[in-house]
Amino acid sequence: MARQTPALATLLPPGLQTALRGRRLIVGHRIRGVSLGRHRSRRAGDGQEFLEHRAYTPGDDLRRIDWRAVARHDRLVLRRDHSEDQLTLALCIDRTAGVEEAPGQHSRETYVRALAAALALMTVGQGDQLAFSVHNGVDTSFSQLRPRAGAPALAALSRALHQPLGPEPCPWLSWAGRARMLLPRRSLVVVFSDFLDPIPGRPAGDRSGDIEVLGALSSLRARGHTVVLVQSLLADELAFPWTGRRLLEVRAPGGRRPPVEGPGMHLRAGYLQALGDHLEWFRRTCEQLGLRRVAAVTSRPIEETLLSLLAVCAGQVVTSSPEAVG
Amino acid sequence: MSLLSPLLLLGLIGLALPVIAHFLGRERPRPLQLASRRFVSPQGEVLTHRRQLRDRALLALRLLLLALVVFALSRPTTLAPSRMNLVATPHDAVIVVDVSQSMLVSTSRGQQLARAIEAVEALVSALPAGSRVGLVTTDPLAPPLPLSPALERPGQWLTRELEDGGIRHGSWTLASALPRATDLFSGDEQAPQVIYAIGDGTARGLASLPQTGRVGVAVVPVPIFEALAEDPLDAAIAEHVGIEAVTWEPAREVDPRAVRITGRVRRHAGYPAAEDEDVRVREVGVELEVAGTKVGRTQVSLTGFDSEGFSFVHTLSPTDGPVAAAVSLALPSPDPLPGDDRFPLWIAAQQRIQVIVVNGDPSELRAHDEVFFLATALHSVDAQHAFEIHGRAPEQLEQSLRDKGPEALAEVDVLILANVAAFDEDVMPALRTAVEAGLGLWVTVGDRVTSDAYNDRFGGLLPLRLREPMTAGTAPGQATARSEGMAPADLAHPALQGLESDLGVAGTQTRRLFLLEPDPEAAHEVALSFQSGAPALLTHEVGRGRVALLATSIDRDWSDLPLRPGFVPLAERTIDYLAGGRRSAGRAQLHIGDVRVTAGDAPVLVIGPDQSRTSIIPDDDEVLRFDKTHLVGTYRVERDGQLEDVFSVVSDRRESVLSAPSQATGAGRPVGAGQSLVRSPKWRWLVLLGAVALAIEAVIRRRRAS
Repeated sequence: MARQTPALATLLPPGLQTALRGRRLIVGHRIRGVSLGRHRSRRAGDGQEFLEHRAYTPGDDLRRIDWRAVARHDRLVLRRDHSEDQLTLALCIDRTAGVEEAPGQHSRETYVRALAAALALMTVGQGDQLAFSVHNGVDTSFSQLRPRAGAPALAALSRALHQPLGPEPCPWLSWAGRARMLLPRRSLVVVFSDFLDPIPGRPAGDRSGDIEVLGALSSLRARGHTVVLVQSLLADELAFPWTGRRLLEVRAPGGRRPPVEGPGMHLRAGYLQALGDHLEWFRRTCEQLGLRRVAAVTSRPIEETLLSLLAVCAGQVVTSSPEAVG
Repeated sequence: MSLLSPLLLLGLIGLALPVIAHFLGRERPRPLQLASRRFVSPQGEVLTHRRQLRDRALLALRLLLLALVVFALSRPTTLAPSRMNLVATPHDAVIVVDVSQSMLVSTSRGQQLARAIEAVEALVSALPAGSRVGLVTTDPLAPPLPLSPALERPGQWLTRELEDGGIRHGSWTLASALPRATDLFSGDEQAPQVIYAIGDGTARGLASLPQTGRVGVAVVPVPIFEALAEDPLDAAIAEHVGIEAVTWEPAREVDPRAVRITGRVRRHAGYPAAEDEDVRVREVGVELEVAGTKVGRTQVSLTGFDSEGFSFVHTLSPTDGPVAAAVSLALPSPDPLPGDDRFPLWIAAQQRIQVIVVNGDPSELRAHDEVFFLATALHSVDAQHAFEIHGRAPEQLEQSLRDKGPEALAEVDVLILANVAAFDEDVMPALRTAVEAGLGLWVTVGDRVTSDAYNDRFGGLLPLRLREPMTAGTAPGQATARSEGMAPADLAHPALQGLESDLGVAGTQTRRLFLLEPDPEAAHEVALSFQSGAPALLTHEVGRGRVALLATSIDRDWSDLPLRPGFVPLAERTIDYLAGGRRSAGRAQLHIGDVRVTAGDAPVLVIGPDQSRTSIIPDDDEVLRFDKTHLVGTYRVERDGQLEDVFSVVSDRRESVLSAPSQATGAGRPVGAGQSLVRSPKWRWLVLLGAVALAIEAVIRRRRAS
């Protein structure tokens, strides 16, 4: 008998559950859904927002004649409104194993799962569709990239988030290709990852791998998707608090890179400089490619990060920079 | 080859320590998994050194270095027959080391004092097993090292003191240090007791040793070259020059404040002695320094190993008190013995001596006045700048002493009582106090002097007690002679020193005189005596003051002494000598290490040449003792911030005569002395080998680093 998967809501910390009450997931652009929903659509329909006037042609619904306009133009004019469609939220979650938990802080895994679960619950709760693809370090599920609505979608996501983890890196390029094919146009795509070493085989100073991944993700925009990158960062990764003479052996998750030894006090300065340069480059590149980015620093209260994420999804500009290095 | 400390070879076990420490001490790195590992760059290679043995050759070389250190610490030695006369059986040995200033002489093999310490170590290493050793130096203030089986202690102690600059040049000769060395033997041991004296051949060194020591304690002189198994001429000493003597005197004929400083510079031969044809004329500069400023320079030419005189005349500025001065040699090259190249002294402008003459028998006829001849002599051309004479009636002086006490004579240098009836008893304590404070007192006799009264009142102030006056020729067997002649003056008396010929009073005829009671315990000095042997002029010291007694009258009543040509210099020199109690402080000179003993009832502060300040507190006998005189230079004594006294410390000029030590082995040989073996240390070669290995290690390390 298979073990029953806990409900997705159990992944939410109590404070986050409170913060979710009364909030909605809003996107800042017009979507193009397949069925009616609550989000403004680019096509004409039965919405509340005025789209255009056009001349009446026989056969049109007489209820849509705009009588005020008829009075002004002295001919029959039909009012057309924007439709309101269902949103499709696509979650791409990189759950590669191997990150350490810091005492008193969320681990990257719990932090990401909580944010993803919150978005999924909000989406399904407001009647939108959910699609997801979770990379658990062993394989990547592409089957769930077909949008679904309701409790089955949440149950499937919960199962995927509770699967054991492995060390294999996320196949970003193939994932992006599948997503382009399977996701409906103008979806909201939220990608969770640390984006620190997306293609480990490359030399440390070589950013070609980063450029390939970001290029693949930005290619989703060609189909009208809004792509939001949630970069999960551990507080220790940003601060490198090992400043003593104690010898450290720094390993990459899954042994993707050879370990490096050295006293923390000797390693720290170079590390912080390189990391700071990379994050700055990553931020500027995202801006250039039209990718929206949210830093999810695990030392930051998760409620604040979720609010920032919702604001970014809604097209607002978030100026706070929680990922200060050093 | 043998090892003095074989147990230290256990230290070789320590060679395993670096390897064990490497394996045990390898730091286990703390594993840290970071998704951002990509941004961590390795820093240097030091860490891999801790994890594995990369350079085994370097490790082997370093282990070899450690092994050499351990082996050197075990002190490998070889045994060779000793040239020293050592007792072959285990015994108690006290080593007496000469640390006098002559030991600072530079030889071709290093400073003599350092060589003496090596000699101590060589001697100790040659002592038979089971011996105990102690140490004494010629510095009276240095604590002795008591007898101990730890044979390495004397050498270590001396080496440490030499490196720290703690060795002081004391006042003892090697012979003077023997009693302290003997005291280290408690007397109840059965082992033989031997004192080994190590030093140079100077008069304060081995040459001072007595021929015989205390019964049961043998004194063995150990020349340094013997202890170090060298030939006597191996440690050559180049010839050197030194200041032999410096004196000063007023040069009143030049200026009332002028002083003439004279001295001699001697050229001392080194050894081995230079051949005669190699002895060239040597020009030596002599400089005079007054109050820290060089004020004069002269040149002396030294032909052969002899002395040559020099002289400076310097006029002091009109400042009060003595001035520190120094005569030093200006040599083009360093002198092997620098200790005698500088002579400090205090000089002072001659103040006019304040003289009070108490006329006990005044007369309106000048020729009959008691002090007419004396006053005339003191007003001669030469003396008028030196003396300021005031007359006083006996009653005036008595009243003044009653009213003011000793302060009545505070400004007076010399008081002359010329045929004065004895003072009342109540004024005598004040007079005695004034004399003890430095007042000079000259008592001349006459008709008004009665022996009983003088003996009662003056008591110990007089050099000898007076007997009854006697008329010449009335003594038994002297029926024909009606007068007493004067014997030649004793020119060795301090008052008459410097006279090159007789005083000029030989023809004096004395008709009446006081005989004096002989007292063998009285410390007096006779300057003049009658032909019969009776003292005519004698002196002694009372406290800081000086007292002279003329046993006849100072006018023509009893003697024609005032008519003699020698009377003027006699009066002048006597008064000058008596005033010395007040003025001689500046002339006080001590040898290095001597103890300065002065009378005083209040603490004083002694400021040394290095500006060190030492507070001296008088003992129960109101005597002040200052023993920190190990530095050559000028010293000031202050009381309550006022200059009280000055003195200078010079090195003993006998230290300048550096004879070959082989000539100074005068002490006896120890009973039971025999041929013994001396250990020759070999660890110096190990140290050299270690230095070479260290250099190779540095080269390898540098190559590895590059």
